Amino acid sequence: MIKITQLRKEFPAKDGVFTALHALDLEVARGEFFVLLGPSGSGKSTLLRCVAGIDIPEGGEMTLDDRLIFSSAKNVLVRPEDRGLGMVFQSYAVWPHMTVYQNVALPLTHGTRRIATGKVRDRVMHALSLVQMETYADRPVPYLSGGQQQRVALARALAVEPVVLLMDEPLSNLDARLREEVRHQILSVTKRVGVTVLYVTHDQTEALALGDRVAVMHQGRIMQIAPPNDLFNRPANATVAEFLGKVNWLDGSIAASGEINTSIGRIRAETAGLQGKVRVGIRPSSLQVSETSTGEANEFGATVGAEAFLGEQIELLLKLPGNTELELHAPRRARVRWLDKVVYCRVDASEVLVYQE
Amino acid sequence: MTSFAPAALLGRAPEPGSGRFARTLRYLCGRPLVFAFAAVPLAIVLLLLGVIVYVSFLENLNDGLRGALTLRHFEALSGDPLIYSALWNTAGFTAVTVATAMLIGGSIAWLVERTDLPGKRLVYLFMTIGLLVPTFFMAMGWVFFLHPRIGMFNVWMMRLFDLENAPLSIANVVGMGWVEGLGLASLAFMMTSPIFKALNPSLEEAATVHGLGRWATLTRVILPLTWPALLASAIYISVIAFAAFEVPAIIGLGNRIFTFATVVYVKVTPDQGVPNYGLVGAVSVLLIVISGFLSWWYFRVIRLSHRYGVIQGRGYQPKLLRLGKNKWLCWAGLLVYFLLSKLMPLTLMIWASLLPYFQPFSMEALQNVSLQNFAIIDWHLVWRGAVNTLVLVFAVPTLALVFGTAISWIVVRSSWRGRFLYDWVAFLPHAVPNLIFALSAVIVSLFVLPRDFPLYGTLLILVIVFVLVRISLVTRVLNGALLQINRELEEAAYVSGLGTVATLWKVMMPLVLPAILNLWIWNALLSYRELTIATFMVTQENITLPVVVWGMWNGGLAGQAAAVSLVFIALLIPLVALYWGLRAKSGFEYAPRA
Repeated sequence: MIKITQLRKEFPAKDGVFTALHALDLEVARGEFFVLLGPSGSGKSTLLRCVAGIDIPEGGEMTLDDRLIFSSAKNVLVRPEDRGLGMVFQSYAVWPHMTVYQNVALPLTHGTRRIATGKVRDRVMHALSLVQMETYADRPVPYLSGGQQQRVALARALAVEPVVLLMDEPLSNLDARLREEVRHQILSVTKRVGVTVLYVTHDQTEALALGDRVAVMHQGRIMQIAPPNDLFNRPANATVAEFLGKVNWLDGSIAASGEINTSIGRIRAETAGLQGKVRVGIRPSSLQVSETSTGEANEFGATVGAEAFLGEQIELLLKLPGNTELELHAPRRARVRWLDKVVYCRVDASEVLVYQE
Repeated sequence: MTSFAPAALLGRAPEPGSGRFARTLRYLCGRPLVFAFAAVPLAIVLLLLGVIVYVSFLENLNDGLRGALTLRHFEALSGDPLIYSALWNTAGFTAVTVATAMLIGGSIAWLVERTDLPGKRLVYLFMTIGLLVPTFFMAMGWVFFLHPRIGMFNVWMMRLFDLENAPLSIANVVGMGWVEGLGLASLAFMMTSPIFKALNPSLEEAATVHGLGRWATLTRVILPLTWPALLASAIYISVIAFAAFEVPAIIGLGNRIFTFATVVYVKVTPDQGVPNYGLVGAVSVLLIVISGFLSWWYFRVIRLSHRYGVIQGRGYQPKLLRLGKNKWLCWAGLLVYFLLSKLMPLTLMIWASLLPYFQPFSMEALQNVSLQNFAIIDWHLVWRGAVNTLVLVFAVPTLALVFGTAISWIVVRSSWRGRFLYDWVAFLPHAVPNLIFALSAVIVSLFVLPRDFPLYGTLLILVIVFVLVRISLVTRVLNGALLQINRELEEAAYVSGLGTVATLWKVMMPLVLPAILNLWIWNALLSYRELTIATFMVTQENITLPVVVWGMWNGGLAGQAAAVSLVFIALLIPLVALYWGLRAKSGFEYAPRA
């Protein structure tokens, strides 16, 4: 559906140019919900804006549904209004001088994808009903809450029946609870309509919850493309792992196949293809804690240096030999004080992340 | 705005490594007309400034601009005692003006924005409209009140206490500054009220919570936080006061107290012989340097005030200070200001218009009251002035908006690097005293343009210069209005399929319309009351209404001048009503700064 090859985008900077996208390749399948995840400045929004046609790349090629929309070699640049897209913006970008109905209808009455006047009303109301906003049709948009405005923006983007729906951090202006609600709605509506979605966010929970596949971007490059599960369990490198959530890092060296020496002792892990010095990563959620030793492999004795009650779970900071500290999440249990206790923590060999130093 | 012109049309591929250039080229090819169009007024601004500076180095203008070069005029300038006295007078006048305007305007702004003063809307209305009352009108009223010989207050005091001399006189630097400051207090109010309004109340609350009293909060927190913004307003007002012509002309000229603006006026309208344009050019260069410095300082201070981050976009509900019984005291103060700045001048002007020569109120004077002044006025001249003024009132704001929109569009929405040049040049008419543009336009029309291009003495030359000096304000307000419109609103339109025309017409235009309407009327009103520029450029043919008044006053016909200025004020009322009506309807919340 979306095919991007060798896309390069530069911005003028104080000292020459700043390269926002380095010869980037990407393919998104029809009907796929594809998420671009990355910290601010990683180029994810720039990539989206290049697809939208709002920013113009310096080089490369893009096709939408097998139609060439940009090519530096063939000198092709299709205007954004001719690309057949829908887009939802971070700031909602609903036109404040119009009602809900007028916002959704304007592209259908005055745009490149206008439809017969008689059909506009049905199409608009259908789009509004998808986001449960049909009762607000005649309300001026400034009187709506942020979540409602964002739903109008979604209806507007869907009403034109876009080949691809672009979403640029659509939830980041909403508060936490509303964010979850609108997120569910986005997922259900887009799946129901079956539209291809390109979605930009810096929030890993959002990315993992929404994406069929997620691309992690860093400094204008794509580091890894994978389904959420693979991405979380098998991050391609330390940067990706770090970006998806907290990781305890240890320095180590390969002792034998499947065994690594670290400051806290010998750890079993998958080490195929690795040798010499490595970085070992253990997520706090991969660690299990108990007061008694089980005698199994990958178990380490420790004292609890600090504990924080988080409600659903308890965050513990363990002190281990070699001046090492590990953070872990223990299940909540009534009336157990962990502080200063001697405990045992264990990690499954398959959950240990190992990267060549 | 990025260009959406298909690259194929341009016949040039965006080659690797030439990204920025290619983008610029694409942009320029997309909108070359807008760029060229917007450059026209800016080119004239630069031309006029260039000519006046060049003339100051020119031996004489007999051969147009082809004469020999000299430093003679600057030497003459440095040896001219009039210039030195004007320097001191202007400095004193500016200082008194700024102090008066900021104290009165700033206090009223604080009362309106930060206290529970009753009747705020009324105060706001009065201060906005106050800005439109011509300064020359107020100045004439104050002359009738405090003139050392005929001033009503002085005559009464001398009679009452059997005094030899007038106790108070308007005919000095302090008096002129006071009158100018009373007028500019409206502007000071306009500029300082957003500062007080935007001050984050939590900063104040933090002070209160940690035990600071009201006074300590004001002096230790509020004033230190707002001073850069307040100082910036003060500098802005000093730029205006520094080059003010009306008050120094009405009050000072007759008493031979000169400021820079009136020195220039005297030099270009000598009693005998031809004007010494070289010397005038040298004075202009001095004026440009000084006001250039003030503008530079203004921008420095503005940057500092942004760093303090006091002004925030959020709509706060600021905590209002309870005035309690003090509110009557505050209203008494407000009424005194209204009385002194508007009501007293108006009353005395009406009185003066009914008398053959000015006398204080008395039974005896009442015998002389008649409409004689209205009968002997040269109504043909007034009619011609009124028609010319009317043309200006419609042509100037329209043209200023058309050009201003193009410039703002480039400055705010284009990605072209050179857009800052447009912004910078568009600001020049504010930084440089307006009378210099008028002077230069006269010189260009008389000595530079070919003789078969008779621009001098036409209404067209007035329109051109009026439009140029209005462009600063128009672009500044439109820049703000366009910046407020989130870029994504425009992008959402493009992506959802609206073309350039539909986007501009259906999305952008309705959003900036309130600002455009408001600016149009405001500029119409400012063009209506403009005296300074017109004074330097008019002939019998292109005379405007304010210049008719000035001519009568300068010729000693104070009664007739008062009569005509009353007609002038009467004609102003429907325009102000239109402004106010539209303002209420569009919900546009502020008057642009003059």
